[in-house]
Amino acid sequence: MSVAIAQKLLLIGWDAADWQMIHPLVDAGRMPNLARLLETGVMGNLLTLQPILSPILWTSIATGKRGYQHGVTGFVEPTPDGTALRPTASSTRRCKALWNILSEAGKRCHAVGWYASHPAELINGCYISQQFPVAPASATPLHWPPQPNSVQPVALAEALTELRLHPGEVTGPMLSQFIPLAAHLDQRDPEVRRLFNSFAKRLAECISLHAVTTAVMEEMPWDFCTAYYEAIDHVGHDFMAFHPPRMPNVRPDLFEVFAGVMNATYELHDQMLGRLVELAGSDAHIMLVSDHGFLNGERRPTTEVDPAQWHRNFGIFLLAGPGIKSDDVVHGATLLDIAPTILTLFGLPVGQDMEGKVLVNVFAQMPKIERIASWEETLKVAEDKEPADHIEDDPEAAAAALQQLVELGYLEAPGEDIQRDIAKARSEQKFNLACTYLDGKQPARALALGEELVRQSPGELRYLVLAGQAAISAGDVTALGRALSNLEASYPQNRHVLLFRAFHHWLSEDIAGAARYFEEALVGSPQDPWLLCRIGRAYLRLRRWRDAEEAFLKAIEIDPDNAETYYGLSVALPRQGRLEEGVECGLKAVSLFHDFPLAHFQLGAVLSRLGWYERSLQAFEICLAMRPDFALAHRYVSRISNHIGQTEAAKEHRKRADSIIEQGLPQLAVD
Amino acid sequence: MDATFVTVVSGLPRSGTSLMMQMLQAGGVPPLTDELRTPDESNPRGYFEYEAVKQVRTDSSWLATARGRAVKIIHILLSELPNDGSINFRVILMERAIGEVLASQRQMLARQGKSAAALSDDQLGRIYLGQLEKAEKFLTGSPAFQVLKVAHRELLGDPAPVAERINQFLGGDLDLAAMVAVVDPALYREREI
Repeated sequence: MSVAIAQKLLLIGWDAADWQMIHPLVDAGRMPNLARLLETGVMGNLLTLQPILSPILWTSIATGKRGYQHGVTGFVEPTPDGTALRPTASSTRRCKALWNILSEAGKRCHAVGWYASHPAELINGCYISQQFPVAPASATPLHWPPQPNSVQPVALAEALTELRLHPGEVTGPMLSQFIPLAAHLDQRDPEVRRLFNSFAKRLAECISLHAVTTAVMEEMPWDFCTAYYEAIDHVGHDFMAFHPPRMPNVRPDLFEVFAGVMNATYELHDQMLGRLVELAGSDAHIMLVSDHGFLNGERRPTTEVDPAQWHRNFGIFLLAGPGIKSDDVVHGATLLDIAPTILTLFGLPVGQDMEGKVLVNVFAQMPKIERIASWEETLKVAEDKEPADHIEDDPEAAAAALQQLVELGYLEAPGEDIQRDIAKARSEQKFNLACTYLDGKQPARALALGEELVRQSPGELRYLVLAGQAAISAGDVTALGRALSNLEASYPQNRHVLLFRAFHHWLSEDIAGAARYFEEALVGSPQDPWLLCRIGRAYLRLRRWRDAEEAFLKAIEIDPDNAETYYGLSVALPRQGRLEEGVECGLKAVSLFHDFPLAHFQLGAVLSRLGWYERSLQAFEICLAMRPDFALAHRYVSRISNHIGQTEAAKEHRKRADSIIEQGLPQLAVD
Repeated sequence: MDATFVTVVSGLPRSGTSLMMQMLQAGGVPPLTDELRTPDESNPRGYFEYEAVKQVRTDSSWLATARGRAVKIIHILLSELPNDGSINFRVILMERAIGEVLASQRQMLARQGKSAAALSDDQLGRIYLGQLEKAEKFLTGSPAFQVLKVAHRELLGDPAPVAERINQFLGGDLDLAAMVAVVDPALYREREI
């Protein structure tokens, strides 16, 4: 075991917290506790995973694994007997979380209120499930029995129950601290009533969890503690629409009253943060993360959309404590990096089955990183690179197995309504699973699931789009053709028809044809940065450097945190003789999204043209660490190594490049 | 019989749970059963089931009456039992080769004129084993459960030592001879060679 840098670490989760909301408040002195942590620690963006759904993401944070590995694929799931739906259970997770691993390593752990954490697990400490502070409809302030199986050790349940706040106990004066103009609104208005009730519920749950968290931190010794708060997300889904500036679709009377709710919610979190930090002590490490950001400006949806469409790709990361750099920024962090980094902080090995990296740049001194095959007892070491085929993830198979138990007389058959709801939940799980495969660069599996979903529900637009996206990622022209036909048959006017046509041309090497369709699609969505990037990439292939630059610059205006736009500029600008600008853009691209081998490659290429060979080699090294079979990168390294007199390295890389070409291994397409 | 805990007999259907219930009854552990399901060719000596078990997720009030008794609970419903220590459970988990379980389930369904799941043995087997794994994980995650695994083949082949282990597990007051007498190897059908 390596030397532990952390003796005590508090992992705080603020669901949906976003630097774009936080920075103005910090600058205005309204989040002083967070400001102090920023001065003494390292901050950065934290790139989320797809699909942006909290149960999946928080489980990924806690396990270091993607949804198709950890098994949590949605908000709800059928109960084991298939007769009802329930929130996704902790028992559905099929790998260890940080509190399991650290408990095994002898650390005293408290896990409080994490997502998908019910029923409570037995760990070396205290475990309070997400259901603990939730008051069912039948509960009243005077009669609110604790949810069974929500606390371990059980002996703590009674005492902790006393700390909960029922929504009915949230008084007018309490609400007025967040909504000072509440009296201006007519409470008989159903929408007004709904908003007030919703806020009271979220506030009560938040305060309950905070009270319980601080109680266990104070009363029971710990080495690792989680403190999870979901209020920013829940409140955001109700009230971010009212955050300034007022959007055209928002009622002026509601805007007047609710405009300050989001900032007030963040301020509350800062106050709670202060108490957490105080309890943790000055020798503790404090890590603050969120699973995703939240749209808060001009890009907020103005019509009714799926709640996940309010989520932004970048959440927050902050780490402070002994041995950590101070007042610094880390780039390229993702959700999958949290578990490896925490394990390293505790001097514990990182599982090779954890895809993320240790965020070495946060440490004042480079840490020693140890690896083991896995923290799971039964996992086969990944010589087999395919993820395990979990038949239980197949909703139809699972349903068929349950039906057999019903036929055998051991389970009750669910009623028809429930069967429909369960079928819908299972499809949702399958859809989300496909999305996790797509995000995890397993497009073939995503495609198989996508096409199954289309067969089951031929008219469902999401499934049609997913199948097409998976086909594109897989480079499967035939499957894309199928997806395009299916989509055209049901939704001929949908914008994805144009996009799929564009990609069909692209995959068939007709880039000019692809560009025409992308341009046509842009007419309907002129503010779509992704589409502008597609056009930019097409122009790069067509060697229309100036046009490409324009497209990427337009995209940056709309979405300044888009790594692809900076990558595109890092190609277009050097082609116009603007090498240093190209390097700047390349650096920005990889700082926004580290796991971007083409961006590192391009950076390396431009740096070599500038004669900055050492830095160029570093960039190529990172690219090759991500894509060891990238022949062109090896050729560059060979050429540069030769140039600077490293002839052995030059030979090795030349040989490697030749071998890759000979084997016909798939290559990245360079713009 | 110690009335401070509930004895649960569990496992996949057709893994020997009914046989175990018979053994426990013979040994002095009264079963909790409503005898709604009568004996048939698949279980000539009866099922020893309790219908309320199927609703345990929504109504577990009957558990209080189960202390000091044995109740059969299918593996998939184990995770609906309270793990907060309000009730202590001693779980006898029957284990049988998955191929034998599947064959026996098929036979039972065929006798009843019902269809088996449209899944291969491999698929169904993996799902069942995954369910069992989850159930075991749930049981080992709480001190409210003590677990004893009993292998069906061993029980049929040499019941005496198994009966002794069960006796020790449940407190040591059982009639071992009566338990052993219940086991009839002729009932071991669908046996894998």
